This record gives sequence, structure tokens and C-alpha cells, in this order.
Amino acid sequence: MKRMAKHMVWALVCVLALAATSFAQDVITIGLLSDLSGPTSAVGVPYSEGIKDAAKYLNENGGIAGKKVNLIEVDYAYNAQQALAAYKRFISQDKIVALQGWGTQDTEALTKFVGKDQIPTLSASYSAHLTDPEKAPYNFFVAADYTTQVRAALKYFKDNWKKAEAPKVAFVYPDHPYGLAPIAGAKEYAKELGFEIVGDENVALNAMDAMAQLLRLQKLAPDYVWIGGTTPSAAIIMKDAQKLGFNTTFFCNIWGVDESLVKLAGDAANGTYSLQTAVVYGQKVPGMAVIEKVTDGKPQMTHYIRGFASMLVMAEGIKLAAAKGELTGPAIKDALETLRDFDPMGLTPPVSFYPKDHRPNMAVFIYKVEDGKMVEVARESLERKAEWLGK
Amino acid sequence: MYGQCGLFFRTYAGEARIFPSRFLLVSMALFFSALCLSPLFFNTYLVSILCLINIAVIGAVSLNLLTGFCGQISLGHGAFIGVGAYAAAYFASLGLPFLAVLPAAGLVTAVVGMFFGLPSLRLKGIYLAIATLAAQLILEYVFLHWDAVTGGSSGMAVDPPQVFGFAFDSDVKMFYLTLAVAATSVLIVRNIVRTRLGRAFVAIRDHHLSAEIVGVDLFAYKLRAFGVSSFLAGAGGALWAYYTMYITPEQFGIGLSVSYLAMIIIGGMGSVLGGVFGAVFITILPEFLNFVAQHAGALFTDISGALLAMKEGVFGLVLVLFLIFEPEGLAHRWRLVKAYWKLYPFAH
Amino acid sequence: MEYYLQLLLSGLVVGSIYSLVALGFVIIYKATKVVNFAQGELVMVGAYVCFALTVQARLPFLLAFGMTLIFSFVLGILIERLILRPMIGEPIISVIMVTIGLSSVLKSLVQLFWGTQIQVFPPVLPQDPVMIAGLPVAPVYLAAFGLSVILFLIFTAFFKYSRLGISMRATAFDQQAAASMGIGITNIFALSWCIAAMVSSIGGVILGNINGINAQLGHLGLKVFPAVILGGLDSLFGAALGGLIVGVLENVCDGAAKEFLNLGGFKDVAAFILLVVILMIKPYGLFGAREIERV
Repeated sequence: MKRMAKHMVWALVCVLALAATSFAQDVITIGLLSDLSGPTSAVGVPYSEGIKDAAKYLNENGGIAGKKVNLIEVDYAYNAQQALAAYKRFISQDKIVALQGWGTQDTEALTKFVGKDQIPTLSASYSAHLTDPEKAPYNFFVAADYTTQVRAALKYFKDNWKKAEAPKVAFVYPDHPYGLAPIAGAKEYAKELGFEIVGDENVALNAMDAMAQLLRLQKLAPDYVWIGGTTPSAAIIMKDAQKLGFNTTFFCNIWGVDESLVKLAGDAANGTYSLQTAVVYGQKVPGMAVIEKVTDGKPQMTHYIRGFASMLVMAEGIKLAAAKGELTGPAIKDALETLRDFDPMGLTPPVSFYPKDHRPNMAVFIYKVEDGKMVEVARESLERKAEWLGK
Repeated sequence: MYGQCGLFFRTYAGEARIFPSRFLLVSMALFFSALCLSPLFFNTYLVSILCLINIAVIGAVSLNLLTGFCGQISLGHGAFIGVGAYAAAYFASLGLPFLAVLPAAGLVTAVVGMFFGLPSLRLKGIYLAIATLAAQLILEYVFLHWDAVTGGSSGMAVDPPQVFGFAFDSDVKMFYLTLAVAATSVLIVRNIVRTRLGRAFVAIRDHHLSAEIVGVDLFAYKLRAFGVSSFLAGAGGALWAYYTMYITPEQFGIGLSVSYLAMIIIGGMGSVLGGVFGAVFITILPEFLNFVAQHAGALFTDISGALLAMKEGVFGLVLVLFLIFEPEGLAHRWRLVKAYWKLYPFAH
Repeated sequence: MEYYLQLLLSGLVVGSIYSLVALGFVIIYKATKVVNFAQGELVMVGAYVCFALTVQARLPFLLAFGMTLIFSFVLGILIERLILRPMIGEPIISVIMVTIGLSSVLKSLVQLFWGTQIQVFPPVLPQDPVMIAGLPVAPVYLAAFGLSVILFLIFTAFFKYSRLGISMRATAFDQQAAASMGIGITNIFALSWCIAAMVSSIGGVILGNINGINAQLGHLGLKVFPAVILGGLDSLFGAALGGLIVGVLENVCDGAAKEFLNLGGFKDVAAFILLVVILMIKPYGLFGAREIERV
């Protein structure tokens, strides 16, 4: 304890002494907003570690265009005011050229600011309206947006539906911006494909039980049930369904099924389909060797891999911009918009951004939980329809 | 009473003056002009922190009026600020100019505040606190579900404010705007406190039974406290909406209410200056911790991650330490420091 | 109709967990008149300590559970001594804020020591659901219900018949009179915090068995408020009953809101609306003692 205190005092002294020194000019400064201690920290921590490890990997291999990456991290604990203040610091003191964001709170609050200050931002908030450059010119992300994920799953189910009558689908989601976002688009597409929408329920993100909602749904006997929450609520729903003897097929997006779900729900999670936009740790893709080396073979969550890929995509954009000689925000944005089928070492489906369309791809990996493990069963790819942009 | 040595009053009006001595008036004027000139020396980040401080001052001072001066514990202040923000966003989307939106948002919030202040008729102390907590959660629900007005889960975008064609679209311009509104709010509250209304509030807080006997209509004055406090909170919320340009329901949760309460506790309840001090302290604290964590991380990498994640713990620790060692807050400490300087080398 | 009966049952089941947490809350208030906003965090700390002993140190469950109770006892003494003792005599708003500050500190400490990942308890109770009136109920909920009833009976007897319990009630009623009668009131305060911490640990272990533990477990503290206020802050019976009522109410209102008003997510806000209504009619809750103010 005393040693820690002594360290802290020393650190403070050195900090105040060093604060005036300026860093080497040959760096690319990137800001990183993470949630390390707030409500989404369970998944925020692995994601931020993926980004940091990717930056470290890039620095160990010559940096980007010969320059080292200087990643400045701020934990904003899912608080919009702190995200805003951290962003202001990034642009005025640290002079970042790009920003790695995290969730809805910071990404939504900063959309207008990054547009005005021209800082390309890659986030982990995959809401569809961020893909429309009219509304969010400087926002990008490397996973298919939430609505596209649901649509891909619906198409996969419909293509594999063998029975004559229309398949029934129900939607269960939290009463929260994150849960509500994809529902309208998903319902529209479900109707288009010929699904019968039988149910619509709310289960809160921190719910302790979902009996009431599942009792209602069980009567309607859906074949497929979409869970739009995060792993804790998804686990509750699956366990309660198992108790009720409610046999249906659940499907969730990247935040609903990850390694924690298997821990929480046990065998109630078997048979669930999961939409992922990055591979699972240990899958045989070129990037996995790199990640295994960086993490010493310790298994990481899918969020780590997505963060790693996000940093790789950003690095590619920066590299292209540097090749043209300009390392500024607008130049990086333009460079990102020239990406065509960029493959981040096989970790995610190939990414393409267009000046009028910031959807990275329309591809989703479909996994199934079998015996406590996530197993890839298909890769679904949808058409890049213009009328789906932003919805 | 913290009367000042060497300062005496011959009239009631003199005693009630906001700046009883010329020294105070001059130093306040100097401080204010230094504040107005500060954007010339500060970079955008520091100016944005000042903007956030100004907005926090409005909220803290209004909460101090309700809780510190009138004794009505309110855990719903964050939601009232949210009402102001949403009202402003809604009126702005209807096309009203900024000068009309600001008071309109305040009025809407005042009405909502008075509605949720109705339980104060029958409830006191912790029960009122819980009722205001209920108000906080109910309002959050309304923000999320009243799609037609609040945009529901996708939130609302707000354009920068315009006054007679002059757009406040940079941090420096917003700083002056928020400074003007914050200074006005502080002046309003300071004025209320020295009038009949303020004396009634303090009477209700200190001994409500005696106040009632003396003739203070408890319920009417409590409602007024809720009304005025919510009006200012609504103005603060409107400025927040204009500053961040995008509001979502999650921004106005219980955490915001707790941080405003922390502001008035750390600053000093029952004093206008306390609200200002508290707002400054709580707004700067996370930035200071970021600064320490980042630079310490350059030297001791293992501390950095832990420090970054400890912000909430440090906030709680600071709150607890202040309550144990300085329960009357920074304003009290400021008074003691001033007294020491004034009376040196005498003890009193 | 059967649907509403099932909702009722499911509500009782969840409500028993609220009751468990509410009991700890009321015990502290009954003895010290302190409203503890950190109750949820005490539950979380209990759950994490038991997790650490069971999973990380691999001790047998009963031994780990016993050690958790001892740890909670010590934690209660520490909290009372370091944080609450200096606050004796301070206005209620200060005490509320100190417990809020304490909750942030506890949460941060838990994150520091155990990280932010979701952790899972090894299953202690059998997993197969038991059928009650056509509704499958997990044994863990039955354990919660049973424990609430047992603890409630124990504490009612304790407060009514034991010397220590009566001293605690006396301290809550009038600190000065109790002190002048020779009751060591600071010891009483410490004891009440210890008991509350232990009860919360039990609640934490149960909760951990339901859906794993993570640092956000403290949110339960907020949900328990309607239960406690509804029942009356100083009534044990009120706390137990209040928890059950809130659990049932959440489910039934949710069902009704969905059916008649087509409002989603009403579950979370229903309890608080009812809370305000009840408070307007009965300001001290259903079973709380009316505070008589003397001039």
C-alpha cells in the first residue's frame, strides 16, 4: 500500500515535469474512447484491448507508412459529457487524425462534431443510420449494421425453410435505443420474405426474468425468435424458455451471443443461431496466427477480434492517405471511401466503403451454438440495396 | 452569521446588498473580465470545459435553491434538465428562434417540475427523495417512448443557436452564450435568496412547523421552489441540447442527478457560491483524472489502465471524504480562507 | 385468467429476491435511521467474495459461504466505523450522499479486483425446474423464497424478544434516551450494518446463482426502493411483503399494459408509479410507523 502510494506520488511529480515535453513528430495520433468501467464494460474491455493490441502489432511491424501509431485512450464510462470533453481534448491538444469510438452514447453525441472537425471515426455502434454519409459523413464501422444482420438471418432461415406454411417470427428486444434500432427494418424485410410476424416483446437489458413475456410468446408458437439484447438478458430468456419447455429457435446479433452466453445459459443456449461479423478465436484464417501470437494463445472474445479488425481497417485507410502524401482527416476519409473488398487478414468479411454508402459489407457469418461452442454454419451475403441504406 | 470584521450596515437595504463592500465588487468585476478574456489564452479543449462548467453551474445553482435553501431533497434533477433539453429540441425543430426557445423550455420544465413537486405536499425527507427518484425514472420512460415529441430511441438533433442571424457554432461563441446565461441564473438565485421568497424557503428548511405558524404557506412556497428551480434547470438543459447538438434519453439518467447532488454537497449546500464551486469541481474532476492517468501511463503502464477505470471510484471516494471532513463544502472552506487572510495575524 | 395467475406466481418468485434485499435495507434503517443507497453494492460484494472463494480458491461451497458471511460482518464494521460514524448528526441528505459515494467506491473496488467480465457461479442447487400450478419454477427461486421467509421470521423474533433486538429498536426510536439507559449505541449501529451486510451476501449468492455476476449487480438496489417504501421503511413485514407486491405488480402491470395499452417496457416503471400513488395516500408506506413531529 505504501509502495503504491509512493509510486503514485512519484508518478505525479514526473507527470507534472514531463507534461511540458512534446512527443516526437513522427507519430500518427489516434484517439480511443472506451468503456472500461461503465455499464457496457464487460464487452468494452475486450474490444478496446483488441484495438490496443492491433496498434501494438502495427508498431512492431514498422508502423503505418513508416510512422508509429500513438493511441490515446480515455475511459468515458458511457457518459456523454465525458465523451464530449475527451473528444475536445483529442482535437485541440492531442491533434488526432482519426478516432476509434465505442457505443451509441459517444458515437451519436459526436456525429455532428466529427463531421464538422473532419475526423474519420470508426465505432462499435452498428446502427444503420450511421451508414448514410448524408447524415454521418465521417462515421464508419467494420461490421454489418444491426438491421442488415437481422435481414441476413431472416434470409438464411427462409432459404432453408422446408415446410409449406409461412414461418413465424417474433421479436424480443430491450426498450432501449440499441434494441429498438433494427426492429422496423427487420419487420419490413420479414414481411417481404413471407414471414408471419406473430409476436413483439420487451425484455430489459438488466432483466432478472422473462417469464411474463415468454408465456405470451409461447401461446403464439413462433418458429424463430429474435433476441435483440445483450448476453445477460439473452441468457435469461433462453433459460426461462427452457424451463417452460418453449421450443423455438433463437437468433441474436453480436452483442447477444458471445462466449459469456455459453457460460451463463449453459445448455439452454444450444441451438441458438448467432450473427457474427468477425471470426471466433481459433478459426483458421490468416489473421488468427497474428492474434494468437499477440495474445500468447489465450482465447479472446469475438469483440476483441472485431476491435483488432477495426484498427486494421483504419490503418489501411491511413496508409492509403499517407501514400498520397496527406495525413489529414479528410484525406483519410477519402482513402477509406476508396476501399474495395479490403480483407483484414480474414478476420471479418471484406470491407468496401463508398462515398455515398458507408456500409462495410452486406455479409454476415452465421454461427450456431452447439455443445457450448460457436460453430460457423454459413456465410450469408445480401444485395447492397440502395433503399436499405440508413435503415 | 458570517459577518465581516470592519463591515457594518446602517440600513436593511445595505445589509441585503449582493456586494456589501467595494472590494468585493471590484474583485468580482476583475474576475468576470478575466473570464471573458480567457478564450484568447485557452485552446478549444479548455474553452469547451468552461462551457460545460457554465451549464453545470446553472444546474447546480438551481438544485441548491431547491435542496440547499428550501430543504426539498430532489433526486430527479437530471430528468428535469432532460425535460428542458427535449423541450428546447422540440421547439427548435418547430422553427422557433433561440431567444424564444430558451424561456419556453424553462417554462415547460417549470410546469413539469411543479407537477412532480406535488408529492411534497405530504412527503418529507427520504420519502420525498424517493418520490423524486420515481419522477426521474418516469420521465426517462417518457423520453424513450413519446416518439412523436422526443424522437424516442434515436434522439433528436439540434442545430446551433442563432440570435438575429448570428450563429453560435463554435466553442468560443457558445462559451460566451453559456456564460451569459449562467451569470444571469446565478444573479437570479442570489436575488431570490435575499428577498421574501428566499427567506420563506430557508424558514421551510429550518423549521417548517414554525414557518407555518408564522404564516408561510408551506405547499405554495414548496411548489414555487420546485417551479423556479426547474425553470433554471430547463434553461440549463436547453443550453446542453444546443451545445451537444444531439440528445438521447440515456444522457439524462440517475447518474446525472447524483452528480448534481454531489456538486451541491461538495460545493456547500445553502449557498450560491457553493453551487458554483461544486459545478467547477465535479466537471474538472474526471478531466484531471484523465490527465493523471494518461501521463502516469507513459511512465507506469500498469497503473494507467487501473487508474482509467477508477474514475467512478475516485468520484465516490472524493464525495465520501468531503462529507466526512468538510461537510459544509468548499464554500465554507473558502470563507475560512478569506477570514484567515482578513484577520491575520489575529485568530478572530 | 390463467395467464394472469401465472404472472402472479412468477411475480411472487422474483419478488422474493427483492424481499431478501429489502430486509437488509430495513434492518439498517430500523436501527440507525440511515437510508442505505449502497444496499445493491453490498449484495454485489457478497456475491463476488463468495465467487472468489468458491471458484478461484476452490473451497467447498458451505465453507466459502461461511467465510463470505464472516467477511460481510467485517465489512459492515468497517463501513460503520470509517464512514457512518463521522456522519452521526448530519442532515439526511448528507447521509444519503455518503451511501451513494460508498456505492461508487465499492463498485470500483470490485472492478479493480475482479475485472468487468461476467462471471458464473457453479450451480449449487439442482437445475431442474419444479412445477407449481403449471408454471416451472427454478429451485433457486424457491430457495430465495424460503430464505426470505426464514430470515424474516428470525429477525422478527430477534427484534421482538431478544435483548439486543429491543436495544436496536430503542436506539432507532430515540438515540439519546437509549444512550442514557446504558445501551452502547455505536455498537448497535455497527451490529445493524453487519447483519445487513450478511443478509445482502445471502441475497448476492442467490442472485449469482440465477444469472451470473457482474459489476452491474448493484442496480438491484434501485429496484428495491419501491418495495421498501411501499412496505414502510421501518417495518420488516412491510419489506418482505413489499418485495413480493412489487414483483407481482411488475409482471401484472406489464401484462396489462401490453394487452390494453400496447405499451412496451412498462415493467420497469410500473412499480415507481404505484409508489408515488401509494405515498400520496399513505405517506409512511403500508406498514410503516407514523412519525409524530413534536414542536
